[in-house]
Amino acid sequence: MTFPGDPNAAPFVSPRPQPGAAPAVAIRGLARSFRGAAALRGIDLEIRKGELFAIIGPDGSGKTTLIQSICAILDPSAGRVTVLGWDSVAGAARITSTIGYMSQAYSLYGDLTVAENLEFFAAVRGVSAELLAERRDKLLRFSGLAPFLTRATKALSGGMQKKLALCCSLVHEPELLVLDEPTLGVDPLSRRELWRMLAEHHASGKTIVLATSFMDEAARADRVAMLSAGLILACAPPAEFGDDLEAAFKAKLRAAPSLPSVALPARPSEGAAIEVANLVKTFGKFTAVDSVSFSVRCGEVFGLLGPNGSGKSTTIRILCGILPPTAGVVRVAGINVAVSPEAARGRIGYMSQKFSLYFDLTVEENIRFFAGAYGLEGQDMEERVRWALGLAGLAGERHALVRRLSGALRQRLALACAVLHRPAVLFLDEPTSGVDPVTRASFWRSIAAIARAGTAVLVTTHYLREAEGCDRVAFISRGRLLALDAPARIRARHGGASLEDAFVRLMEAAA
Amino acid sequence: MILAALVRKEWLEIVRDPITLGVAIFLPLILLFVFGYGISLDVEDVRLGVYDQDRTQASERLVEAFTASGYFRVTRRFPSLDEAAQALDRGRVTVALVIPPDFSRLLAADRTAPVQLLVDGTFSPTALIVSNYATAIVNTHSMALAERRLETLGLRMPGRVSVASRVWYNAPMRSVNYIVPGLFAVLLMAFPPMLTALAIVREKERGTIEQIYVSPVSAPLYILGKVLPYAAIAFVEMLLILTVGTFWFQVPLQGSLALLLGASLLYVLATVGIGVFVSTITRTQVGAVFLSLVVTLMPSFLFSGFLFPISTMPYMMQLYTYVFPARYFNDISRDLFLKGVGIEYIWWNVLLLVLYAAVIFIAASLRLKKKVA
Repeated sequence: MTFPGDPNAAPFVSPRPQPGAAPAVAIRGLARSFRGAAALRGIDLEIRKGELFAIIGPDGSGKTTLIQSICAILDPSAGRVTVLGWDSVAGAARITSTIGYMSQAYSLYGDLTVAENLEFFAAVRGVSAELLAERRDKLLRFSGLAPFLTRATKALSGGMQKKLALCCSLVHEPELLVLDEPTLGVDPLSRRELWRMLAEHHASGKTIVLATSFMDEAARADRVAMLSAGLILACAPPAEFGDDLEAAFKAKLRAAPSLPSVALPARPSEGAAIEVANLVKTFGKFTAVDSVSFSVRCGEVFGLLGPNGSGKSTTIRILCGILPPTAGVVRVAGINVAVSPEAARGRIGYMSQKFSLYFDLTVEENIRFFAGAYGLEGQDMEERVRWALGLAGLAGERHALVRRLSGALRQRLALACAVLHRPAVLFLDEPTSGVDPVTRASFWRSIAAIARAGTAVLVTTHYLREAEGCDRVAFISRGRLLALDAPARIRARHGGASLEDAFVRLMEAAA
Repeated sequence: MILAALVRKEWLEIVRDPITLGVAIFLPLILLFVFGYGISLDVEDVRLGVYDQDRTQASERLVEAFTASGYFRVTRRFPSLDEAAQALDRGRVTVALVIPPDFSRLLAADRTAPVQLLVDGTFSPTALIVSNYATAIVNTHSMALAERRLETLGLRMPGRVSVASRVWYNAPMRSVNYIVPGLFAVLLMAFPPMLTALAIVREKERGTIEQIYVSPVSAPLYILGKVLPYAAIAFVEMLLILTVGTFWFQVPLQGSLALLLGASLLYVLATVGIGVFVSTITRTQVGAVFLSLVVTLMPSFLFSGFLFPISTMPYMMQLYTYVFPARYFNDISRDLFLKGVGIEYIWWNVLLLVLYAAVIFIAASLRLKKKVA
């Protein structure tokens, strides 16, 4: 699988490693545990100079731990990590002052402007003013950040922030660049720009190591390491995994247990579950949503797709009755949300990427809390708790603290909590952000089961591949609806291209 | 070069967050006013209740002696001892004067006439002062009576010892004169460390510190990049409260201004250093705030000698006060303001501040390892 349809995406020609050249990264028997819990359990790995190396694996497989060990900001419990010839413990200072790194966390200073962030990281890296001036122009051109130099970083969209973070990690043109999920939560368009910058850096012979949950990104690497439960399952060029890396990945890992379909019938609701007619939302002079109309049937899975800052979240907030519309009519489960948001709220469920679970409560305590918040009690409560435990597949772990659960299990629990009150409409705002393909697949099976029971599901996602599981998708950009149809029909209209290509073309045509 | 970039970055973040800056500058100022006016150990206008069973001219003169002193004000007359006790219970009066029925008869018979003083001792320092004042008033009155009686007999008072006491350093005995210099020590320990700790822990919480870890910035350099801007803010704070203390509260500075400012600079470096140290052992902003409260705000009030003299504490607690630099600066500040002494009298405390700042900076640098776990 190649990076879908990017006309510029020439296959990378990795510079042949010179015989005898020292590897960029050499890892021997690396193990690391946190308070007795093993995150890495014996990793042997060699990354050649000039290689583009991808690390993939499910949540909790140890990707970030491996990345941080390479960056010398985490000491091994056992084994050795050698980076550019330096030991990661004894030579940590040499490593950290040489390599480039972009953590998964927010790595910029939000109160500083784009230019100030660049200047700061350049100064810290000892890049002279002349050199910075020269590199800055190139970086800004590549990232498209030039018009926003004086803007506060916190006012940038998520995609632009990631691009700036990458610029800041590239400002000293590091021999080795290490990236932890660099495109997480970034829309497909920004993702391509990020990759163009990475490709440019790689083409100049530099080594890049990245962890990612996007299989199409991993497919661009020279080699891919599949990590599971702290061990490397396989490490090879992507071609050796066959045509479809994602399928190979799922096959390699034990398939996640499919969820029992215990969805209860949703309460019947008359007509369309969601009706949006000429919805407009303005903030001052800025139009976030520009006369958008669509409707979602009961039992339908509806995908709302668009780049960061396109108006998706604003639309969902209006549909949930958190934000009043400027103009237009919004009906959810037959209720006019602008008129009686309280009544509508009882009929909807909501789950975002920041699962609103209480980490210090057990699974069952969380379910009971949310059930209580929805006004369930007595026999109803008991029945619902049993049902939710079944839906989440967590009956055996009902007394486990949520903080001890893996990301995948937490996600299933959050979903069960969001549908406890049998909502007519379920809103899922980037529910699978940063989740590995196996977990994502099982999550989508749960969504399908919930929809089959009659609940309308509205979902936003940046993984366009999984959006193909929607009955219909709507593309929005800058608040305007660009396309609305079944995924297969949209692909057909764009000559059989993938949904992602269709998306990018629509975006570029609109720009 | 790197240090300049760190300081500049910190400075930009500070000025773009006006709320934090406002809190840093104005909260100490507000507290200075609150405590400057609020804390007073001066004893005046004490509420006096009288249970006069004698009801004669003689007993009335004794009561007048109290009111004429200027320290007491008669607010109650009691018909019974029970009423007097109740008034004390309810805090209506601070002192009750009980004059027995035979007061004037005993005096007229040249005998000793006892009176009783009931003092509300719930706050013992004030109770002691009130009791001493009252005793002195009664003694003076008694002496005057004796002198007049001797005169009527054609005799003179025998030789006596008289005390001429002068209060040095704070002649008007204004408590604001020692409260305000003490407050400087308290306020500079109460706020700057917390702000500094938050500035570092915020980077831990947001994750920006990982970027610093993977960079040539060493731990001491990073810490210095935080200490310098926050120490500068703390020093501005000091200038501000010093100005208000001198011009608004009229607390005269007897000693050298340069010496005071120099010592303040050392002091804020030490207190900001505590903030940095706190940040190296906490991971969340909430944790940093709580730990700061325990190791800075609370001890700055309790263990600085600001209100509670260290010399009267149990020995172990006296040793404990050395952990907090507030006691060194409290001594320096009061010595300079009230006594006006020179460096030769305070060099020991100044040296302790220097050592303190150095030790806390080194400890924090060692604690801040450039590792995520």
